[in-house]
Amino acid sequence: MVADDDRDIRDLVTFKLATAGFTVQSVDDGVAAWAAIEADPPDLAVLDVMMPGLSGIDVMLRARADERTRSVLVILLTARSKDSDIEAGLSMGADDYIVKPVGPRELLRRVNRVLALGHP
Amino acid sequence: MNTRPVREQLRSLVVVLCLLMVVTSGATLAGLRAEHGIIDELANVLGPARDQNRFLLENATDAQSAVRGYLATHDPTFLEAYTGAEQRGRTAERELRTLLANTGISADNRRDYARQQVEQDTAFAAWWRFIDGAVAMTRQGRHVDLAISRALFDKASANNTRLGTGMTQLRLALRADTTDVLDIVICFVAFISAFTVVTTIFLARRISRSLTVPITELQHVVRLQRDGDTVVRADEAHGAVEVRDLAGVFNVLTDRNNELVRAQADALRLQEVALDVETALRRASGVDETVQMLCSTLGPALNARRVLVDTLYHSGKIIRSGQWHSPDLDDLPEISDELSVHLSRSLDHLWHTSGRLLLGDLTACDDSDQQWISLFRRETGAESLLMVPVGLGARVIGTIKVLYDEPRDWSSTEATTVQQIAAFLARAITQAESEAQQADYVVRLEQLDTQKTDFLSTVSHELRTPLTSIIGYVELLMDGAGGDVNADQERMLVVIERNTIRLRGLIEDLLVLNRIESGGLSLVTTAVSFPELIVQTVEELRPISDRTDVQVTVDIADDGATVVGDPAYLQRILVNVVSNAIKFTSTEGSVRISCAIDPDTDHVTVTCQDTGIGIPEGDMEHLFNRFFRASNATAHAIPGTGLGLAIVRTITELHHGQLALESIEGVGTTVTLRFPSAGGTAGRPRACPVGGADH
Repeated sequence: MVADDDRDIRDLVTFKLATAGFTVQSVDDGVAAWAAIEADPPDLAVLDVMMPGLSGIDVMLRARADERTRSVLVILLTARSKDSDIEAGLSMGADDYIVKPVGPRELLRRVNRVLALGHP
Repeated sequence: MNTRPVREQLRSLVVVLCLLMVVTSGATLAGLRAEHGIIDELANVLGPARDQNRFLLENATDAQSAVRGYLATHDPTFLEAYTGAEQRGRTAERELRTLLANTGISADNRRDYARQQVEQDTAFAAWWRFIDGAVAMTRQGRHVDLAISRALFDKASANNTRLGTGMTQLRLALRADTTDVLDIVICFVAFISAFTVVTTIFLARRISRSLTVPITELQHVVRLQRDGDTVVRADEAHGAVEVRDLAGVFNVLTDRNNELVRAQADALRLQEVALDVETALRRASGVDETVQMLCSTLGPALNARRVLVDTLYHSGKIIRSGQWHSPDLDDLPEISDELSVHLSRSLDHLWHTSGRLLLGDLTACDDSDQQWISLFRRETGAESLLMVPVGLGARVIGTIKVLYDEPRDWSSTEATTVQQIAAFLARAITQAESEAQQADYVVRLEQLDTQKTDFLSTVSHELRTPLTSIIGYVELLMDGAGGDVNADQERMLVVIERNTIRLRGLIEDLLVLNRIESGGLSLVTTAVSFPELIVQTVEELRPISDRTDVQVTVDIADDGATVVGDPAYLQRILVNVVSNAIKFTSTEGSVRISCAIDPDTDHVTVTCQDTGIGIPEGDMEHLFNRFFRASNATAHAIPGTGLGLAIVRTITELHHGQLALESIEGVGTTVTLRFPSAGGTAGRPRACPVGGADH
């Protein structure tokens, strides 16, 4: 699942993952993202951090708090590049933290790596 | 004790001594004169007179014998002898008469002698006549009765003997007189001398007592005072006038000295008060606390009843900023508008003239020009006022007033102390205002800095999002996701990609610098192996070096060259330095990166040496300025942000490292980084060419 309020990026990520063979559902805000995860937990969710409604981190925390969605892998994708932000995101349960700007190839590589590693 | 002046006493002593000397001398002279008269009478009158008297008798006797011989023998020889004796006898008679008529003999004696001499002369004259007659009669042959001659001679001889006896008695009497006069003179002189000695001793003792006793007492008093007795005073009631005057002057000097000592002690105490106030003011924070601290320190120190500190505003309005009063008094209300107006007019004049106002008795101030004084009395109840304006430059900003509810004299020292404290207050107010302004300035600067940081953070975030789209879609296009791309399109896409990467680098560099400046950069330190970091960096940059065909060589002298630092930021340093070296080195040039441990200083040294375009000498000093780019870099259109070296230096310094850069334009550049070693220097040197022409 891909959640980003920026349509261009959402489409870009969706396109790249879809062409790589994944089944991708995309949403444009945090509330929709949590609804989608709750309704049908995906294997992996690429969440933009700063989204209207619920932030990517809020969505991740909800997922981690719910037994049914706890196993969903989460990659946080954000423009916030401070070390403290990265550390905070990873410590709160993210499986990876990707700082924008990032190329589609690099993104796909990171997605594959997270899926391969699974939960730590 | 004699209280007469010493001068007068000495004069009396001299006068008495002189009088005694005159009396002694006079008595001596009178004695000598009397003695002289007696001796003169004895030597010049009585002695010769007795001799002449005796000579007269002897010649008369000789004449008698000669006459008797002649009468018996008629020998003329006897007649000649008679004639000679008669002549000598008559001569002696005349001499005797002359001597006895001398004025050197007392008048009584002279009369007595004259009478006896007349009797003797008469007797001898009768005898001389009889003898002469007898001689004549004998010549005539006539008989002469010698019995008559003998009777006449006996009578004359008796007179002669009587006169001689009288003179002998007188001489004896005169000799006795001489002895008496001498005894009298000796006794008198002895008495006068004894009297002089006694008088001198008596007067000398009196003078001595009137001088030495009080001077000794004065000396004792001086010693006591020297030893610290400030109460003892010299005796002004006893002793000579001069000594009493001296004691009086000494007591006056003592009083003055005590006053001076008291004034000095007072001045010292007040100086300490001023210092206490200054210390208190330094401890105070803010103007209000400063003013209150001043009032509560100054009031008790000056034994005042009230201390008021008022602030004068530009409008002329005076507001009470602080006050202190004795525990038995109440706070004063705010100063009235009327007094405020009057007082503010006086303050400006006061500040530009004496700088203080000392009114010991406010009730005595009826000056119509100072109407505020009566108002002030009514509002404060003060009877005595010491007022000092507090000024800053030409402007009066307030006053310090020290009040007393009874008339009293303010000393100059007290006024000076309050003036000094007023200066402290002015300085403290200035400092407090300055500190407040500074604090405000700092807050505003911090706000601005935060705004700048937020702005940069926001802008970079806002730039990253569209940049992600651009990078992503260019990459998709280049990967053929949008269909086949011809050569021209691919070249164009490469240009877009290159500039996108450049833009991303600029954003990254700006963010790093922003974090460092805002203190937001937190280093996660660990032991970092520089050889590994160098190899990793060279590998990451290999696509670029391959593209430009630059040979990159790595020379690791010590595998264990390890430092303590943040690996991400240390790699950023290496990326910046090595990518710069590759970027500024033309095709077929070389870049050599070496790493070693300096055993002398135990530092890890990383050197990046290239054969690039170098840096013009004039640009060297500006290289670490932000956004500065070497002139030949811009001339060759080599892309860059001008932030790389600034970031390298800042991160190096955060790791306690040093950065050195040497360059010759057209020859190449060498960048040297030195970091404190984390230890562990074992390892073999090795040369490891990676990338470049080998790949």
